[in-house]
Amino acid sequence: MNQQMKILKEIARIADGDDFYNQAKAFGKTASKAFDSGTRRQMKNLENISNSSLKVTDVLDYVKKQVAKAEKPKTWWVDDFGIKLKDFIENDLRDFRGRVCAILEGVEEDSAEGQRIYLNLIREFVRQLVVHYEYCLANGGEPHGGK
Amino acid sequence: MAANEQAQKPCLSAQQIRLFSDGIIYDYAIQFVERHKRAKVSVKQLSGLQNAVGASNWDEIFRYIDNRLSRKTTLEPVKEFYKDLKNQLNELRTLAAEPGAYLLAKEFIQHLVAEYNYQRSL
Repeated sequence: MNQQMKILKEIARIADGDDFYNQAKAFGKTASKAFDSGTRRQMKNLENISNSSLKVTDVLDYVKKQVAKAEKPKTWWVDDFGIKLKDFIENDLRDFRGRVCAILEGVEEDSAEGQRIYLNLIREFVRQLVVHYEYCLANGGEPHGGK
Repeated sequence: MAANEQAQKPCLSAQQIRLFSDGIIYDYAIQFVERHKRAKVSVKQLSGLQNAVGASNWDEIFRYIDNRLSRKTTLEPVKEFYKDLKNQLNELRTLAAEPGAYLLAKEFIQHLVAEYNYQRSL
């Protein structure tokens, strides 16, 4: 198996783990309290930014900008959604990147490959978060059960 | 700047700029805001800064900073913010050949403005 395939396999394994899934579910539930159908565009925008960004900091700057712009205690401020999301991306997903790099041989965390792994983890996390969010919104705020 | 000085600096690829931006440039911006978060630089001034860096011209951005520094109404902590910004930008200029150095400055200001407004909102 070539290195690229190994990386994708490892990211998929991490993203399928309970830690990752449960965190995405919890964030999705909070998002459903923060963004009703009138503001759901904000979640779509978050997904678009994470899918199109080539830098981790573009996603972080976007979240910070939204938090700074939002009116307290609404949307990004509900249960500190924005602050917690920014911290999760900055700390927890970085740790997940470290785990992927530790398993793969010869991939430095601060290399271009490490940056791509980090971005893929962010994309996968935001994708899962938005799925949970949409599900909760459709079901009156209740998250679904386990996997 | 002398041509030979410019030639000695590394030419950065788009990928290298992205790596710098996610690494030391982001760290510089966070540390910068930490040093000046009590300066109370207005949202309008930060927007002006972003517009000035958007012009893709070092003269434009330094003119903007000098203009802010020369105003009698600018408070001392805000002046310190701009003096430090000037030093930081000059330091970034030494990191790479153009246009890479300017792109790094743009990244730095993007991170700085996002972090400054974020910290203000907390």
